[in-house]
Amino acid sequence: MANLNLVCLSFQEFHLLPLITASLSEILASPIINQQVKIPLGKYFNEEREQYNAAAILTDYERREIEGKTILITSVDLYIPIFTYVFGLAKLNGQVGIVSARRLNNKFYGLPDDGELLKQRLIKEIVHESGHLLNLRHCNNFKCVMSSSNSADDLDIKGIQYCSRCLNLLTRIDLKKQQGL
Amino acid sequence: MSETEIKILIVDDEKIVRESLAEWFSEDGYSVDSAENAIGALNQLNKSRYDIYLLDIKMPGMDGMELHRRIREIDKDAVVIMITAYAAVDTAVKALKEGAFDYITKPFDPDNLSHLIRNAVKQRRLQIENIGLKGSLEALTEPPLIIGASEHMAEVKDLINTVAKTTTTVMIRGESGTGKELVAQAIHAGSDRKFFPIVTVNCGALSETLLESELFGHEKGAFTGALYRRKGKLEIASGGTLFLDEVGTISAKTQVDLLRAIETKEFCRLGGNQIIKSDFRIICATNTHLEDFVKKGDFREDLYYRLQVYTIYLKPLRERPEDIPELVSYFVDRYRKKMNKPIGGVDPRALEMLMNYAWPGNIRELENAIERAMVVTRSKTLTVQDFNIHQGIEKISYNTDLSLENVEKEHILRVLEKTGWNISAAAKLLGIDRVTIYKKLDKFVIKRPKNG
Repeated sequence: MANLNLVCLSFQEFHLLPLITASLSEILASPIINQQVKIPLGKYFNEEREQYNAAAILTDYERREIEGKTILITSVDLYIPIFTYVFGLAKLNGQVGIVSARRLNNKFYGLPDDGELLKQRLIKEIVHESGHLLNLRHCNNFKCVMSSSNSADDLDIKGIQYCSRCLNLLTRIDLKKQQGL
Repeated sequence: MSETEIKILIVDDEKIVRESLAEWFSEDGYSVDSAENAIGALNQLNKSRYDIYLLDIKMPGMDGMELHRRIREIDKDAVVIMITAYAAVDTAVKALKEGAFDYITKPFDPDNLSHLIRNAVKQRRLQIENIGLKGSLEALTEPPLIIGASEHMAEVKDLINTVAKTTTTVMIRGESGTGKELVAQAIHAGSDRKFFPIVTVNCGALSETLLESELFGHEKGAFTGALYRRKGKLEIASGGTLFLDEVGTISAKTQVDLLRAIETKEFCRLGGNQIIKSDFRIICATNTHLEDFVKKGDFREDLYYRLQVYTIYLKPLRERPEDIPELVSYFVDRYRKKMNKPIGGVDPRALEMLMNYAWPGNIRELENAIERAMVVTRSKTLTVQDFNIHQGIEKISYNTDLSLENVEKEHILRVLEKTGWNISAAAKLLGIDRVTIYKKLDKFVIKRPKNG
């Protein structure tokens, strides 16, 4: 895969960033470019829900001139209008995805802080949303990082890597791109 | 059935709901269509069928509740999930009462929606599997083919159709080889019990103790050799049919137990105290004159009347020769396929011979004669020479040293052998009544051979 831009947007867990970047670079076999942007998030805030509209953030960010696939990471709680929350959001074959650390953090559930677990969950969620940007759908293999997960428990069960079937699909997608199909 | 084969239709007037759900389901690999109102949904339904429907309750025009009813009219097994706002939960519950699979409130909790869809898919797969299994079971439980165009066979088929749907006990009477078991199978296959087993017990083939154990089952250690607990045929036939063949041979002791079991539908296994309940239907068959046994006290009158509720009598083949051509062509066809031998049928002379023969062994004998002829024949049609049956009137020669009494005895024996020890048929051939033949048997001390 070509470069992946990892853009911090109101992301507070900075201390985890170097470790996350190193792991991502290994798993995705591509250089990770870290950036930090300052975008006022106020307009995306829904007072009733006390959450930020992930779909609106992505739509606005996609208007920027960006090179390569981009994952925004944030610590604010995300939603989309039809769902009560999302861990992350990315369109199939889109350019930009977003991942929130909010509900991946044990503190959200009233449990003791666990930096290592948070790091693992963040990596899984970033690899998962990157998969969608690369046109991968959800995978039935529960160990695969592309398996669907709607709870922190689901995230902990699945692996951190793409399964062989998803890797094969990625190779095919890559080949088609090279052939300009 | 993989995810891509599951088709989902989303019906919601809010574009964002349609788009977000469609994208979410596509990511999971489902095939998704959407419509913005009920009319659009019904138009889509004209073109395609869906496995799961997500319907918004509040929509302009026809609402989700009415659309649900319309969908159910088209596909009564549709898995429908109602989408509602918090305020409309009452309506959603009403939809559940009308057969909806579940409801979900907006905005959706992703975890709940995911579980809901997984359960809906599971339900749909079970439905499809169930339909498939029922189809294969229907094929397996197809009623057996009863051949015969005679008036008698038409009556028999009528009797079968009348009694099949009921749970009435049926007694099938007829000589050996007339197809009593086939009739029993046809009754079972035409009944609501067809998806449960038909269990056959040949009462004549088992000794008293073995028959008891076979019918009622036994507990471990009930008798020497009872190493395990074993279910009886009465228990196995629960929900289905118990076919008791040669019911006239049941011993007096077993008759009592059987009568009790038939009347109460309850019994105990041999050596056990636990009362077993079983819902079985009895069909029995006999080739003997049960009434004589009742008169002699060998067969209990109460059991006789309990079994003799609805009788189907099968005429012997010699009394309905018009069925022979159809039976012959059926058996020739069956053995042609089985033996892979290109034989077209039976030539007219051979058929005439077959129609004139008495067939003491009835259809079973006819089938065997055809099978044998098919094996030995060297031509494309079966000829008289291919059949090994005695035709016409046999020339009988007796030793002139015999007394008249001995000739009479010899002749009665020959006729009985020819009719397969059918007393009524023998009496008819001899031109005497059945009582006389019994008297002669006693007089000459003639006993039916055990394997007869």
